[in-house]
Amino acid sequence: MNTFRQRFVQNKTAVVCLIVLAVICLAAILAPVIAPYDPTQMFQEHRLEGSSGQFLLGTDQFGRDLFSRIIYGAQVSLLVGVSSVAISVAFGSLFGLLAGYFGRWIDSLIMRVMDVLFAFPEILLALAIVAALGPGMVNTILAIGIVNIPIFTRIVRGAVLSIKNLEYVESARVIGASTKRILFLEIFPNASAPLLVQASLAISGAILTESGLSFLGLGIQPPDPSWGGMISEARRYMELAPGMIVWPCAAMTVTILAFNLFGDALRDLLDPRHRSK
Amino acid sequence: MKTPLLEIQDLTTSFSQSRKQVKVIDNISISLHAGETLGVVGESGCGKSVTSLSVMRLLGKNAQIRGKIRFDDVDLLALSEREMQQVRGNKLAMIFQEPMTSLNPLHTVGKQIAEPLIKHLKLSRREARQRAIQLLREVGIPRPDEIYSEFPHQLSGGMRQRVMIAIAMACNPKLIIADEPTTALDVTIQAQILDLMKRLKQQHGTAIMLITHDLGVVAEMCERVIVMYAGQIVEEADVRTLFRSPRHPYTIGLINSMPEVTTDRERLESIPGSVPSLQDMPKGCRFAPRCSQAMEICRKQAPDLLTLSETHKCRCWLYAEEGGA
Repeated sequence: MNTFRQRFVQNKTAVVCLIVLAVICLAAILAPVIAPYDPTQMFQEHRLEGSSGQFLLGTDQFGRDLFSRIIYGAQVSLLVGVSSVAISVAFGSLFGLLAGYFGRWIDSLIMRVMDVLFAFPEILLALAIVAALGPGMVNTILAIGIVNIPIFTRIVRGAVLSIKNLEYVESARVIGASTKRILFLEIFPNASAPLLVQASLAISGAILTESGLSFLGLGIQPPDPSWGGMISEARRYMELAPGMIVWPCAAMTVTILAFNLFGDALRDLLDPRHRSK
Repeated sequence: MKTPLLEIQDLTTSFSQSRKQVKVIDNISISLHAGETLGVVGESGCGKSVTSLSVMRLLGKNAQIRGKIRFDDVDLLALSEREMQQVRGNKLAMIFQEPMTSLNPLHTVGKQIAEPLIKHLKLSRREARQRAIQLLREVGIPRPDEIYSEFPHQLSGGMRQRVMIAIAMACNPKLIIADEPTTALDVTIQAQILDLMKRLKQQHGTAIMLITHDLGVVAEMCERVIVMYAGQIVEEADVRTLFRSPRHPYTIGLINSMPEVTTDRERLESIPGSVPSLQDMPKGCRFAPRCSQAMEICRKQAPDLLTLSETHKCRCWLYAEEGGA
């Protein structure tokens, strides 16, 4: 059987997506180096311009460089995407482990709460939380993080249910392992494959939700650049400067597509049924 | 007489199933001395495994265990879960039937052997590694240094069972409960594993409680045998007596249904019928519906476990007078 790495390299989608994601991440991290201008610097005499040698992707209504703003926007999007999913994964895993392993009333309690959270449309719930906490980056991350907890709880719980009765968990108990050890070192690592796939997909969802919130004016606050906010501002100038809406949209599409396809490829690679083709 | 290493008295294990109590083990008493090998035989569903899991206290919350289990002068049923964790894998170890799935696929073989050493013997990582490699060598695994850092899927079934034995032997337990340790292996490997267990037992003086449905394995390994049927002990004897003069019709049936190479029997005998369901046990002797020698009394009244001689006990009305009951 091939190792995971070998199969990964053979999977073209996975490799291409990983490269695209790496480029986006690098651009975000190295934004101060790559971006030609400060994202908030205004060139009053160059408003609503198209692409040119001076401004690679043109400028917005205040004469700010779109290319620089998109790169800094990537920073925001990735930060929100990754940290909100980290919150969801952490709490979702914990709740899922507890619910799946202990069952009984703990399971009922946790899963009913998750059902309630699930009942709300994602964006609506995030909107409600942000409205309660107030807008801003940290609160946006918190809101999106909370919204995604139920998905991870369900996934981990399902995996735990099928793993907890396997012989090797019993063997661990036989050598005197504590419950904590069994939960986190025996069961959780074996439940992590579906978790990884879902995390990759959830990052793209989180980026979308963040853009949605920013578009509605409740996410990242201007003048900080964010893709959703840029699209929102661009609406009024769409006909004058189409680049203003096209480029942020394109950046978002590429990023989300890369995360989604990467998640799909990861699922194929980690799923034993898809292994032998 | 010395106090036995493991003394089970009047053990009754029942499970609650939709508000009803189902008795799986009915009043079992077993004693096992240090260094002894005891076979527990019976067909599927007779309560062999539940007995061993009761001793390990590994049954779920819906199981109720009554009676007394004394192991190494400690009342196991009185221990807290945390105290029980100190016993499991330390003085009392267990080997399971399925070597293919009994190892965690994500941890290396070595890590899984080293774990009880670090937990119970408080060894450092490096000491545990050395001891684990030594254990691998002891259970006859070639290239122990390399195997130490390999994953379970890289090993064959026989190798994995050796690893399981190494894990069980890690802390030099006083008793190993082996629940059908060779059932999932093919015959040549079975013999190797049994030899290995015998050798380790002689070297370390470990007592073994061997649970199996294979009388051949019993004849090979054990000094004393307990035959179980439908949650009860039906016959108990030393291994010679059991094979030379089995008394209980069920034991006789079991022995006759064993394939033999030496005799040229045309067909294998089998015991007709199957084990009665736990919910509606026959009123009298539990074996009566399948017994060829069943009498009137067998269907009405349950027999007691009769003492036929110092080492031979049997639960059957046929020997009621002989047993002086």
